[in-house]
Amino acid sequence: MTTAREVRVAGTGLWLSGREGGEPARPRLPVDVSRLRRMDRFARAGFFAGSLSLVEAGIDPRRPPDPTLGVVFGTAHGCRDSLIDFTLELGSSESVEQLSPALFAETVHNTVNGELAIAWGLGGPSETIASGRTGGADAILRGAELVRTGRAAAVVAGGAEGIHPKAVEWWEQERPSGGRGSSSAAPRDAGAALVLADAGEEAGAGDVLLSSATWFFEPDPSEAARRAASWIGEGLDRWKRPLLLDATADLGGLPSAWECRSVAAEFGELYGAAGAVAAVLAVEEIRSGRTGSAVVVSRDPGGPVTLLAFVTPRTG
Amino acid sequence: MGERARGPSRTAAVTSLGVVTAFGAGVEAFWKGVLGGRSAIAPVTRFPVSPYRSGVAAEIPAGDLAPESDRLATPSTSAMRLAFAAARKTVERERLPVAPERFGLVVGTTMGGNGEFIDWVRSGTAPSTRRSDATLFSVASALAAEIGARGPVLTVSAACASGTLAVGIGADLIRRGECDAVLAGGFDVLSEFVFAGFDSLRALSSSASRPFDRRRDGLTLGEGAAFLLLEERAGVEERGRAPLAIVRGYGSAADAHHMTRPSPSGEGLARAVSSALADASIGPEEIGFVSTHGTGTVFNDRMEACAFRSLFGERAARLPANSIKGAVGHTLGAAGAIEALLCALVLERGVIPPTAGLEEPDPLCPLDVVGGSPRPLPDSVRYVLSTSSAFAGTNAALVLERP
Repeated sequence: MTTAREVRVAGTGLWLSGREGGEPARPRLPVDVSRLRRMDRFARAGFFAGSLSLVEAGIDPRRPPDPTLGVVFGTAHGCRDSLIDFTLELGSSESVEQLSPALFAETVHNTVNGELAIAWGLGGPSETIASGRTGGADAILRGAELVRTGRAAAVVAGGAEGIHPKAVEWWEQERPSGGRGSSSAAPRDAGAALVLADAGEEAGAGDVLLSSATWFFEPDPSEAARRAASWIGEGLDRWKRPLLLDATADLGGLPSAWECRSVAAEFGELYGAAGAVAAVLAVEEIRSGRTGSAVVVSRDPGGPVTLLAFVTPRTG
Repeated sequence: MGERARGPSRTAAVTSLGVVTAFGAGVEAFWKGVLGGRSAIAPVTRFPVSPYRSGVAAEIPAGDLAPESDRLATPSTSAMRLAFAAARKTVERERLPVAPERFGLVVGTTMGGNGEFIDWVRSGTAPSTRRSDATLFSVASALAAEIGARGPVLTVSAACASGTLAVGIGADLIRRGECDAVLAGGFDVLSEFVFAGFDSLRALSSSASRPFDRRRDGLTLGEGAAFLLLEERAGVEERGRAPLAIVRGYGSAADAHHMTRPSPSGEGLARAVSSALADASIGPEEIGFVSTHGTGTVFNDRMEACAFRSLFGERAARLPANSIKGAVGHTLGAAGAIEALLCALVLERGVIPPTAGLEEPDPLCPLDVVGGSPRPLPDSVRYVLSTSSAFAGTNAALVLERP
């Protein structure tokens, strides 16, 4: 088990496209947004979510870059949006001069890290995790580790996904077969982020802490559910009655008596952003007083499982 | 940088290595190639190069990939066959006395299994593989199932720094007590997609790349895979085995400068190295060799020289360094893992391989880049450094220690 007892959530950010794919109104941000026109759906979703979380955390843009501020982002498909567009361009071009170098530059999966770092002056640790649907939750776990071990004073950590029309075509052909809280809604662009910071000696009563987290690999769904339930059970003394936020509707074997909110049913297929969206909702639930603790449950059908437990110091 | 927590008591030991490059499969084929100062770069055979300004790359012979087998997805992707070939040379699961729940996997890649996805998009026809195999993370899932890892299984994708991040994060999993063993490394397959992309950026050399040479004019692409088996040191020594090396420090940092051009001052790379040195609890004066990113582009090599001057001062001109990208090409997500593996071999064997392609050192890169023939590593050297720098401004560094 990984423990991260002294990491608090200093800010949250959420960016979701509409059900029909339309973008929400763009927020005013205290940074240069001229690069937005070069960003694909994935980069925009992560950039807005990360920026909103930094605004809420009260972090100003830094020049020169601040080595104590880090960024960790997760995804399933990353820059597939740009990857598809560059592939189509490659197929229709007669010479290399017709290819767009700016588009190719967007075909790496750490573009959210790069765009946030440039805009906000984040000069500290930078990592990108692409472990499927657990990517966003993995990034939050990893971001918390960077804070807990003193590698960064604060880390913006989250997940993002951008959905190209061809990806919807893909999804239609391999539509999920169903499960507890599963969604029939098509995938959508999504970004979500937390700013994680050192809680210091004493967390305030209004704080939300990332108290514990774990990750493991288990391709057998029933065994994955057993291991997840066991881990949650070990923490029940501290967490009392946690609200479960099921990010990916892929762990139907969890005890049905536990109160559960299905992110997939509410928001649709969010791929690697799902765990981070669930984490933002967990923080909102605790801040609102509806629960004193919440556990994000995230699993990819390929086998990765990641669990994040959030609490308020009031809990217990 | 502020004061930070020092290293935990657990230690990540390197106990086994596996690699596949254009020199062939296995550590000895790789070592023989780089030690001899040879270049495996040759005319591209995999796709037509007539539309492009370059026609060379470092391709792996098909016979050096893992065969398709009933333990792999059927039919397996080229990415899986490459990664499995290197992984199988690194770990023999039945000889690794670690519970599945304490065994992790961290894989770095830029493309993962997306090669088949690209083929599907480009041709408009159904892929020959399962769609779920044509993703960034499909190789890690298949590999975890093959080697029986049930601890954390991560795919790291931060462009050309992916392999270094994977080894660093893998070492963290050991040191923080989450795993007793981790298979960490990286892979990437050469594709026309990437070749065309780098050519559109005018980043490809017309001939084999010449890192740190005055006449260098770009990078040459390659393909490869490498894995390091990391284990908790105490457990290794209890079994009477000696580690090959120790992963003592890891750090990463964002340039926060530009998406494709490195910061000219190298300050992002310098921050990553400083973080790795702090993690290792050592000063820069204790580093005795640097495996550079050394792509052979004008901007990258000059940026690295600036970073190392700021870190090591005047000593940078006397600190032995090299680049293997003139030998095996730039293998993207595999590069950092291959170079970490090289560092372990340099420490174990006490020899620094030369930089293939380096004939006239660039006076604007005032470093002691080893060229021509191998150079002995003094016995007094305890620590070596490996660095990577990537698009989107991600930098990463590892400090390896002689056990």
